[in-house]
Amino acid sequence: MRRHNRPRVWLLNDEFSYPLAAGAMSGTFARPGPGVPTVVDTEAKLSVANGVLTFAGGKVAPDWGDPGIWYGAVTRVAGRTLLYRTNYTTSIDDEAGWDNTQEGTALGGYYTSFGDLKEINNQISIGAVSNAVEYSFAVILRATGTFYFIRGGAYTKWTLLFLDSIGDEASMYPAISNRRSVMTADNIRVPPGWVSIPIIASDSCVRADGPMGLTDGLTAEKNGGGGKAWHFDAGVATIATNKAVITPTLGAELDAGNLVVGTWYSITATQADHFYVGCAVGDTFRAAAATGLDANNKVQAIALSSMFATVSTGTANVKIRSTVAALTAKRMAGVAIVNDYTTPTQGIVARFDGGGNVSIIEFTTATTWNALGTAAKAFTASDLIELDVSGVAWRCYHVTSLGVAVLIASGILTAALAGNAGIWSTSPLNTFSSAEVYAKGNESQYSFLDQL
Amino acid sequence: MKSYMIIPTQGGSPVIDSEKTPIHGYVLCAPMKGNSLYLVSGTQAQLDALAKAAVQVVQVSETEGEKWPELKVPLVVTPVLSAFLATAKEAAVDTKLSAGENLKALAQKYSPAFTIEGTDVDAPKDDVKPVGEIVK
Repeated sequence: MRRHNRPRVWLLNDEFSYPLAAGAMSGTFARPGPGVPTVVDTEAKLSVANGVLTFAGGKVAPDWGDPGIWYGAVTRVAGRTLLYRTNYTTSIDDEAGWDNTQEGTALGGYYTSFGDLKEINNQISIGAVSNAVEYSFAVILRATGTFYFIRGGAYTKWTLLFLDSIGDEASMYPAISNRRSVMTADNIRVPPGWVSIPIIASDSCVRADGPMGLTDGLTAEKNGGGGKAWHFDAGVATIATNKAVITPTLGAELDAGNLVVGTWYSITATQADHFYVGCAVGDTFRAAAATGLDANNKVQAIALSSMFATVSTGTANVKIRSTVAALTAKRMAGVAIVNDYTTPTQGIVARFDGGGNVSIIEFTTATTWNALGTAAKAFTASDLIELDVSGVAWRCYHVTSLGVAVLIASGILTAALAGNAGIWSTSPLNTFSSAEVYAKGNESQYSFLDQL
Repeated sequence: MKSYMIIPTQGGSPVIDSEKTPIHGYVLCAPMKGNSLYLVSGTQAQLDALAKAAVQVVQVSETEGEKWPELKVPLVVTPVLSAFLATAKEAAVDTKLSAGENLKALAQKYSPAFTIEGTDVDAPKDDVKPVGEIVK
């Protein structure tokens, strides 16, 4: 078959193919173009040599945005992509991405802080970079917010690090600037088209009352993820008034013997502080000790499998996000990834704990649980919880309905997961208003970014 | 503020009295037998209080100048940490190595995938000095 080789028409393409001495960038053009950089470089820290843009550190009095370059405005379209590469000699603090002005700090983009890779809008850690490694970045605009991808070093495939929901300015400027890092940058490009980021599963939970059934593909991105079957114990997961509800299965009331460590319970009778400080009827909890039961201190065991509603994802390396519409005190709700949706024996759960914290726990048998992390974070209706797993590494974020995100914690897990991700709750008093699952990219799901 | 601490565990959770020694958060670095290594966040007063009931390995800080500079200096062995390591039949810390190198070596005995860079926990906002200034 004959190929037609047509030159690609970029919206921006700067390969830094023409050498420029330090301090000589102002008034130049992107090579081979198109693109005209607006340059701020008051102490001549920018130069072009060996086909790369070199940042020789920051000013004597370091300042964000100086040295820095901004290219011309690009109209926001969901899927519009900024690509660039960096290689750090010393990563201290620098930034790149989409800006809404041609000065100062970027808006939708990355910045580094001593090897921490952070998202600018929320100033939270979303990854890490090392010195002397070439990284490729893709910063992709959403209708509101940005997708953040990276490849290079430990990120052997294009990896989805984060997506935020802040910023909807129509005109955005590709930007890269430095405060104190010593680094190079190259191949700053905006392709002419737009990319569509696939979603494994997406559910707005807006539909007629009944079993959860299939995902509807109608969360914010509206870009697929519909038609996935929700898996759950019979009768457990339902849609009620456009919210997802999990009604766990409770066993017979127990009033003798001892709690089984690692089993989940709902309290039906309690004396003051019997099970834990402040315990009350209706509370749900996981037994950490073999506390005794009697006529005044009674519980019902919660069937582990009945706390989950999951979809098959084909990979355990996913980012699962869910909006918790309502949470009742001392009842827990969140997201989970498990090895088996019928008989889960290994998994990880990130949850609002109903007591003012977000917690991450894993289980390696049905009754062997490890508390992986927790941080104080008061729940407000429609807060979003996000769990991100890549190999043994996990991250958990809390995001408000206004898009303000914090990293609750990050660490490593020991549970062997498999491709089932979804929502988790200890009580039908909690409700969910969305669920989304994205691939992290470990299995080359985003290799199409190489084709841009 | 944040501190790496060794804390007794029960049922897979650190034994922390939330009434007497409240903290902001923690993340598990390495599970040990009967104890685990955690990165704990809280106010200075909270960490000081918890350190009396746990083994504080090293406290770390984030400032304008650098993230966790304490990990780059040799680890000063406290009597409490020395006693814990001896009781646990762990090798004593090498005071010639940095706190970070000692910490990583200890954690990786139990969790080979542990990295300092990949382990973090949210901290009280009033207690965190920003790394750099991002103002728009």
